[in-house]
Amino acid sequence: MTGWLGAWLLLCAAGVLVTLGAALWRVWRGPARADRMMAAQLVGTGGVAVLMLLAPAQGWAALDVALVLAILAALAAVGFVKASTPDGAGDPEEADAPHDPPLDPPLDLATDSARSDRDVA
Amino acid sequence: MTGADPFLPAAHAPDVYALGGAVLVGLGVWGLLALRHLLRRVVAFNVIGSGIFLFFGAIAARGGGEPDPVPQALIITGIVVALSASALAVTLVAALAQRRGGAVLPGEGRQPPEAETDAK
Amino acid sequence: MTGAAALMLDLLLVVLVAFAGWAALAGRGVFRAVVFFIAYGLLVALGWVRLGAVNVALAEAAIGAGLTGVLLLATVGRLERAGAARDVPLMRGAAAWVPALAGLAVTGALVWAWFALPLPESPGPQLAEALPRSGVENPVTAVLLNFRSWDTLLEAIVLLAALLGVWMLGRDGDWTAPLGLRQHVREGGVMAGFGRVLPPLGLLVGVWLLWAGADAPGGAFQGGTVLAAVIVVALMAGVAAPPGVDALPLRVALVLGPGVFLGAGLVLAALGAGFLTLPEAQAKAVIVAVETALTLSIAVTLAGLVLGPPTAPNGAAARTPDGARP
Repeated sequence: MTGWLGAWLLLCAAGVLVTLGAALWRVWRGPARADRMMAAQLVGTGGVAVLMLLAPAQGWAALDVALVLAILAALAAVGFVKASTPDGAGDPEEADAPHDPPLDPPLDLATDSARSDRDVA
Repeated sequence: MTGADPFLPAAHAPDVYALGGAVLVGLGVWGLLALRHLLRRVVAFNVIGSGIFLFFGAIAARGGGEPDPVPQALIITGIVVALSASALAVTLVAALAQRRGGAVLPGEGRQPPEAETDAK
Repeated sequence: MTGAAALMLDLLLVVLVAFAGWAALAGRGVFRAVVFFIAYGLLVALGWVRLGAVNVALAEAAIGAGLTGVLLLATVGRLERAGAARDVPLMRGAAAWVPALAGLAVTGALVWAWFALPLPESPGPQLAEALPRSGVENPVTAVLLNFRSWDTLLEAIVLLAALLGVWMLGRDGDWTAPLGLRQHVREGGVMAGFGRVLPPLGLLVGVWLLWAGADAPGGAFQGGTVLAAVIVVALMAGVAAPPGVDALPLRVALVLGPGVFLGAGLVLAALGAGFLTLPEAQAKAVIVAVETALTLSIAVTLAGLVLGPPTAPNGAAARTPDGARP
């Protein structure tokens, strides 16, 4: 597809890539592990969006890649959750699983960065 | 949904991705030599492989027209073999860590003791 | 107009890929490096689509975004339980310049090679003449399973060899134990639900990729890696229990792909066509048969590689107090 519509689709795809750059910044900063993993999941979802925008402009075969990415990107999140259980094979929802400490005292945005030293896996 | 429609890369794409691949290979070589934690070395090794594949894929896309399928086939093979090599490598790293208590090679110093929560 | 937008898109993507690759290597923190590497794999899959290599993009999406992430994250967990996940500082002193110089030299050599080497001879006319006789229309499948099938056969055997290497790293006494860790999930929880929703969809996509790979992007490797991810999800969500090393169905599944491939080659040689030389009339049938067996073997082998060596149920990861291997 040539012309203005193709250029517009590619421009939108570039815009999504810019937001993925912001996600990579979040992976760098953290501070918690869940922050980094959620940002990586955003890269996966954003990648699906980029491919769907590329498909009409470049070729419909990109939708196949988008399908595979959409199905498998969550696999890393499952692996992360599993690896952070005490024996590496559990489920955080199980009755005896350790839970995040409750937010007590209430969340104070000015000192939120101090939470990183209580950070759990 | 998809047919065998031609999927031609843009004219500038090979140059851009070849240079990107070259940069990645250089970064990976630096990482492989400079990093000491073995799991990070495995990541560096994978970055080198991936950079080489991008460089090779750019070669396949050169010259306009249909991309050359032979490099693409070799790259697919390479990606799968790189995964299997990484799996073997990380299993070795885990076995070494269980035996020595640290994921560094014996001649390269000791790993600092683990703090109670060092999640980064 | 489209050209300028495409150039900007590609430049932006390459910058992101290079940043993700640098961030996976630089900075402190093993976990952060692993997460950056997962994001890096996702972005590289986009790059493959931009380079017109959709078959490669499918393989990279399934492996780089899915299986490698699970593998590395599980290993970080194992290292933590062994007390070895804390990052180690870089080397200091005069030796610290050597890696940077080596990296710069390699990059410089590759850049020089890119601009100095002549344009390779285009395979277009030869390929256009040979492809219709190969039995399939997807040129990458034709190369993998017909023109260069010997490489693919050897690669299938290499995968098996890597799996054997991983198995040998288990403890001797655990040889007959099931593969990987004992998974347990909460009944009716999110993990269990995920294990019920994803595997059927993934099975459908994986088998479709195998079948569609004859004429459209796809093939044995792409389908096999998606199916491997399905197996890994099903096992991690507790839907199925992993087999032991000595389970016959597992061994048959592992050997079936290389076996059928090798057998086809030998039969063709016995019939006078030559080892792995596919005659035009039977090419499609042979390719479909070999691809189906190969997909199964690739799926089971890659799943086995990600799961790890056999592990006894009473937990294996801890060191004994004197630091020796238990």
